[in-house]
Amino acid sequence: MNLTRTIVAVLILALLVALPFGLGQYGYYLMAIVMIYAMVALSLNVLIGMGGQISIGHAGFWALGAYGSALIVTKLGFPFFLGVLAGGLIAAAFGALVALPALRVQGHYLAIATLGFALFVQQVLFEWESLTGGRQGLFVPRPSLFGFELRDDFAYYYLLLAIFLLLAWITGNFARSHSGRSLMALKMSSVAAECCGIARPKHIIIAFTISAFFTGVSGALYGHLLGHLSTETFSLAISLSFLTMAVIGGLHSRAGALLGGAYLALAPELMREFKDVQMVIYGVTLILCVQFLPRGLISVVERVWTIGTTPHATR
Amino acid sequence: MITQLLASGLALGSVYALLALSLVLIHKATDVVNFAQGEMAMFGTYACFALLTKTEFPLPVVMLAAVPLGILLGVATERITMGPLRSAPPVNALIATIGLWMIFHHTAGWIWGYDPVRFPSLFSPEPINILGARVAQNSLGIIAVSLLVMVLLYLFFEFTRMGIAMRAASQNRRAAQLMGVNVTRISLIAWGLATAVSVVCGLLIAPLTFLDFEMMLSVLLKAFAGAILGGFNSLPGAVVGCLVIGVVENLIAAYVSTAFKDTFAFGIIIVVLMFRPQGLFTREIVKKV
Amino acid sequence: MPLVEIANLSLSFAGLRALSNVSFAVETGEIIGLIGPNGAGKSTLLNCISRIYMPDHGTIRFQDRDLNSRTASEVAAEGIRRTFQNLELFREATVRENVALGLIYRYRTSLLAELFALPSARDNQRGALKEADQIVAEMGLSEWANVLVAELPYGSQKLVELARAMAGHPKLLLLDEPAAGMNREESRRVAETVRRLRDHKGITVLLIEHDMRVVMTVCDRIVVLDHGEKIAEGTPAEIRRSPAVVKAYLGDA
Ligand SMILES: Nc1ncnc2c1ncn2[C@@H]1O[C@H](COP(=O)(O)OP(=O)(O)OP(=O)(O)O)[C@@H](O)[C@H]1O
Ligand SMILES: [Mg+2]
Repeated sequence: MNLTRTIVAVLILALLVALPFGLGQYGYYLMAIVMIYAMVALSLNVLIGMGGQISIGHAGFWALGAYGSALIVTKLGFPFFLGVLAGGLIAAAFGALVALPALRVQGHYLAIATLGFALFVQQVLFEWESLTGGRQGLFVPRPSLFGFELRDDFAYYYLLLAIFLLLAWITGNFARSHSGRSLMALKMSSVAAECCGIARPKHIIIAFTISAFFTGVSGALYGHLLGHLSTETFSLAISLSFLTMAVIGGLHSRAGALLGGAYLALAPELMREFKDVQMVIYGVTLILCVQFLPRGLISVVERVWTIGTTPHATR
Repeated sequence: MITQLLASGLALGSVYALLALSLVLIHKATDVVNFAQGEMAMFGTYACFALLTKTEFPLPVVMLAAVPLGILLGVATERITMGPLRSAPPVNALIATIGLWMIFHHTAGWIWGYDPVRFPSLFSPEPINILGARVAQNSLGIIAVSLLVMVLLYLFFEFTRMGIAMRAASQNRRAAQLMGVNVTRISLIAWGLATAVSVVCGLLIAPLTFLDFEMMLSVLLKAFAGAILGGFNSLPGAVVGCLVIGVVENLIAAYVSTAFKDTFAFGIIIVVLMFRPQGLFTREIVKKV
Repeated sequence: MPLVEIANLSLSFAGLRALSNVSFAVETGEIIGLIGPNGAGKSTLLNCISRIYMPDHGTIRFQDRDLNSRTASEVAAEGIRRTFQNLELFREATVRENVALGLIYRYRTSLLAELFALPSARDNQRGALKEADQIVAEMGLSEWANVLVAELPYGSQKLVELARAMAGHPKLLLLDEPAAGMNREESRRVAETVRRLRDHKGITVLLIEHDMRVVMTVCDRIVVLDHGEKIAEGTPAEIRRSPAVVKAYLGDA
C-alpha cells in the first residue's frame, strides 16, 4: 500500500538477516540478546505506547516465562516450542491478574502494583527451592527444533528473528484492530472513550495480557539461550532497564523496539569502563529522552529519512 | 512481648508513614507518583552520614541539617527533571521519576560503596518500663520524631499562606490557577518538603537496617501499601495506613514467617485496589469534566 | 413510561452540594432544556446520567431500568451518548477516526481474530470506517475527514463531538452547551440540527445551554436548576414567566 514503507521494511529485514555473518560466537550471542530484548521492547510498545500504562515489573513476567518454560521442558518433557508458548501463556495469565485492579482504579496505581508483583515473583522463585532450585538456580536445555538441537547461537538467532517478526506482525495487527484503537482512545481521553462505549478495564487488561505474553515468550527464549537461570537475573534493575530501552528506542514504533533492544544489548559492551555508572547513565538518558525526544531515537531516524527522501515532508 | 511487638510495629509504621507522606504530598500537588522518593531519602541519608563522619558535628545537629539538605535536594531535582515535563503527558513524568530512581540508587552505591555501614542511633535499644509494659526506647524515639514531623506538616498546611494555597491547588488545580496560585512554585515546594520529610525517614530507618543503598526498596513498597490503604490523597489516611502496615508486618514476622514480611505489602496493594480503591477512609476524587 | 426518570438525585463535593434532591422525567422524543446560573449543577447532573460521577443518593432510570450499577461505557453502549462542555476529543486523531471511535464498540470480533488479522476482523474494520464516513458526510464534515481534530476551529470541533455521539445511534443525547462560543448564525444552526435529529431520527435530547434564544426556540420543556436544586420546570412560556427563575438569574445568585 505504501511503497517507501515496504522498501524500508525490506531493507531492515535484509540487514537483520545479513548482520550476524562473520561476527563470531560472541557476536551471535549478542545478536540473539538484541532480539530477545526487542521482544520485551515490543511488549512495552503495546503497554505504554498504546495503553499509556507503566510497568516497572516486567522482570516478573520475564521470569515467569523463563522458569515456566524451563520447568515444563525439563520436568514434563515437553518440546522446546511448547515450553516457550506455555511460558508466554503463564506470564499472560499473571499479566491479566496484575491488571485486574483496573476494574476499579484510575490513574497510575497499576504501576505500583507491578513493582510489588515483580518483587513478589522474585521472592517466590527464591524461596520455592524444590521447584526452582532457589539460590542454586536451574539448568535449562538448549533450544531444539523438530528434534534437532540448536547448539549454535547463529542458528538460534534466526529462530529468534522469526519469532520477533511474528510478534511485530501481531503488534501491527493489534494497533490497527478495534481493540488496539480502543486502547489508544482510552489513552487520549479516558472519559471520552468510556462515553463512546469503550470499556476501560477490559482494554487495560488486554494490554497487560498481550504485553506479559510477549515478555514471557522473550523470557522463555532467554532461558534456553543462557542454559541456566538464577533469581538475581530478574531483579528490579532489569525491569528498569527494559523501561529505559523501550523509551529510548521509541514507544510508538516497531523499528523503535528493535533499536531499543540493540541499545540495551550493546550499550553495556560500549560502556565496559563505566561499569559502576552504567545504570546512572541509563537513568540520565531516560530522563533526557522523555524531555527532549519523547518519541525515542527512532524519531530521529525517521526525521533524517524524511528529509532525505521528501523535501516537502508533511509530517 | 506483644506490647514490644506493637510498639516496634508502630515505630516501623511511623517511619513508613513519613515516606508515604512524601509520596502523597507530591501526588496531591502535581499528580506525579514519585517512584524515586525512597532513593532520594537514601541519598540524603548518605549525605548526612558523610557530614557526620567528615565533620565532627554531633548527631542531633546532623539530623537538623537533614531538613535544609532534603529541601535543596528536592527543589533541585524538581527544577531539573520535572520542570520541562510540566505540559507533557503524565506518563512521561512518571518515567522520569524512574530515571531518577536509577540515578540516585547507583550514584549512592558508586560514591559511598556497596557495603552496608552502621549508622548511629539517637536512641538506645534498651527497653524501659511504661505502665508496666517494657518498650524499647528507640521505638518511642522514632514515634516521637515522626509525630513531631507530622505536627509541623499539619501546622504548615493549616496556618501558613503557602500551605493553604497548596491545599487549594490540590483540590482544584484550574480554579487555583485562575486565582493566581503559581503552579510551578507549588510543585517546587511540594518536592522540597516531601524530600526533607523523606530524608528524616531515611535517618530514622538507617540505624535499624544499616545504611545501605538497597535499604529503601522494601520501605518504598510498604509506604505505597500504606498510602493506598489510606486512599493516596489524604495525608492522615496515609499515616494511619502505614501504622497498620507496620504493625501487621511485625505480627507476620513474629507469628507467621519472616520470609514474606516484605512482600505481603504487594498482597495488600492488590486487595485494596481490587475491593476498596478509594482506601479505607477517603472518598474517591473525581476529575471534573 | 418516560425514557429517563430521575428521582431525588443528590451529590456533594467536599461539602459543597452540587445536586440536591433533583427529580424530573424525560419523555421519549422530547427535547428538554436544562438551564441555570453558573455552578448550578447542570453539568454534574449530565455527568451522573452518563456515570462519570456517582450520585450520593437517588436513582436514575433509563428505559425503566436502574443505571445505578452500570459503568460509563455500559450506559453509552445502551444508547446514552453525549458531548462535553470543555471538549473531550481524541486530539491526536483525525475527524474520521474520532467518529469511528464512537462506533467501533458495536463492531467486535474475537481478540484472536484481531491479533492474527483474520478476514472477520478486517471486514469489521472496513465496515466501521464505512459507517464512520457516512456519518462524517451527514454532519457536513467530509471536507475535514482526514484532518487532525486539534487543528480545526472550535466550532467545528464541537460538531465533531456531536458527530461522534451520533455514531452511537443514541436513544438519548446529552448536550452540554453545544452553542457555547458560537456566533448568532452558528447557534441558529446548532438549534436547527438538534431539532432535525429529534424530528427525523426520534432522538430524545437533554440540552444544557446558556443561549436563551436557542433554549426557548428548540426545547419542549425546560428544567431550571439553582444551587443544585430544581427551582422550576415547565414549557418555555411558563419558565419565562416564573418569578423564581427571574430571581435566580437576576437576583443575588
Ligand atoms: N469533579 C468535581 N470536583 C469538585 N467539585 C466539582 C466537580 N464537578 C463539579 N463541581 C462543583 O459542583 C458545582 C456545580 O458544577 P457544575 O459544573 O455542575 O455547574 P454548571 O451548572 O454546569 O455550571 P456552568 O454553567 O458554569 O457550566 C460547582 O460548584 C463545581 O465547582
Ligand atoms: Mg457546566
